[in-house]
Amino acid sequence: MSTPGEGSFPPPKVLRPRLLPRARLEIDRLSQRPILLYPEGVMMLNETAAAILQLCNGEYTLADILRELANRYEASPEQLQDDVYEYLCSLRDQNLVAWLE
Amino acid sequence: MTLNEQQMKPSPSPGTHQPEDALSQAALGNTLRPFGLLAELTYRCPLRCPYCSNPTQILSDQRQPELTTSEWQRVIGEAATLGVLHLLFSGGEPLLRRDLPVLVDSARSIGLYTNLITSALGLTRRRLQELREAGLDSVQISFQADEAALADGIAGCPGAHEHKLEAARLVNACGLPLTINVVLHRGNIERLPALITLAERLGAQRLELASTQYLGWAFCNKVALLPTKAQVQQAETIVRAAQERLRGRMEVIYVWPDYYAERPKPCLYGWGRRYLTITPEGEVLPCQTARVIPNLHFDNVRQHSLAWIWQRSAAFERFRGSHWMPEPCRSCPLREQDFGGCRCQAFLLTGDAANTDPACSLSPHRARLLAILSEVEQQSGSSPSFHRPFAPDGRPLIPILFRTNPKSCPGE
Ligand code: SF4
Ligand code: SF4
Repeated sequence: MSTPGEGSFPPPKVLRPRLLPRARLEIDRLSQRPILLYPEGVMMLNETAAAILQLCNGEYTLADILRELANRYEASPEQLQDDVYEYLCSLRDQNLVAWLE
Repeated sequence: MTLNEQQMKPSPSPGTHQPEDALSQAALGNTLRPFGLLAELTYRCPLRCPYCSNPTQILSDQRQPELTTSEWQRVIGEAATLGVLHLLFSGGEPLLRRDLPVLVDSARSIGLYTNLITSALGLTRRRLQELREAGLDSVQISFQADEAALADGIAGCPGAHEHKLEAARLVNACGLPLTINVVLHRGNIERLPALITLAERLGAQRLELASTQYLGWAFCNKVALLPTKAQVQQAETIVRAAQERLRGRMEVIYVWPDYYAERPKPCLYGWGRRYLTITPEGEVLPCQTARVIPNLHFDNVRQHSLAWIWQRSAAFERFRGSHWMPEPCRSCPLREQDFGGCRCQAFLLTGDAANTDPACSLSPHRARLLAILSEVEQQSGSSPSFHRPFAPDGRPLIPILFRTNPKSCPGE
């Protein structure tokens, strides 16, 4: 497992982000919105965040994920890259996502 | 179990998303929505921690039998309907309930995040396998210290530490996320670096370093357990360095010692607002230690639905919002942020649960808290006596009151 430091640009697109087993995606029963549950915490997700995390299965590389999102949201992978990378790094810092080689 | 062990009174620490962050995103709606249910399955426990938050009077013969499996299952369903997301199985020692896997399964199958809060005594490979198959999401094991003699002394139970080490290894081996919780006090706070190393070595994904909350048994032992100011300052430096060093590898949560703070903790994010506790006999409490407050009537899930209790019970209404607050809270701009602190602590220190928590420097009763702290400084040469009344060098030690177990065990 490797942990890229923040700001280590360009993002290591060959790494494969994986949502750790301690965190679980769910749909909130009351609001019907996606949420991320983890020990003693909950995070509300918007549609994009949920889409990103669904792709963090440890098999897709960051490049794969960017390509898939670009398809879905009619943007280019380059446009999405910084935001997605920053988001995944913040989850890494909270020990919710790991980067596999 | 202790309040700290459930992180039910968490300190907002940077980098962690507590439920309140979700709220600020204003999407989970309803301001009176409970996020967490602490299910105290039993008060029975093989350990005797002197800071346990279980009631200090659990010897009475008047106790009702523990809730049955089907009663808990009904309540778990009602909790999910109310909006609860986290189910914390606690106690006492929840593993003493044989039906634990059944209850985990009930919770997990309706989408709740299930966390086992355990002393680890009774956590065998087989038990763990059953729980894992039932869908348990995470395991939290309490450690009393980093080495056996001290740890077993604090827990009042020879052999406990060794057992915990083995259980932590089993948890890791079966792939369940492990949290290690340590309640900090004068008897172990100087072991902090070794405690952090232990958690790393055991592969914990999360380490909770929780200053003792002086409620329940801990309040009886406060002069023996409170660290000195110098110890607290040193601990903070060590914790911050560890948080920085371990970022991305192990989440390190620090619950600060509110006796040494200027402002109180946002206790439970407000009374009757985010959390509820159900006792082994089915009473529903806004907070684990709420029974210490006189003249509050707690309703029971044997008589009412959980929704009725959450919305209508007088005990929940009593300190909801800010209408009940006296000065200085009433006109304070922080009242919706810290909710005036902890009601149980206000009662224990001032005799009136509606008073401002003396952990706030604006409290007119602050002097009571300061008097306790100065007593602690005077005693700072002595350590708490988990074994005997004298230290090896002959200095007197402060005697400790260990928790006791319920006399009868109606659940068995
Ligand atoms: S005595 Fe048992 S229930 Fe109480 S804090 Fe210790 S382990 Fe937890
Ligand atoms: S006066 Fe009350 S509301 Fe204001 S900071 Fe102190 S405890 Fe909080």
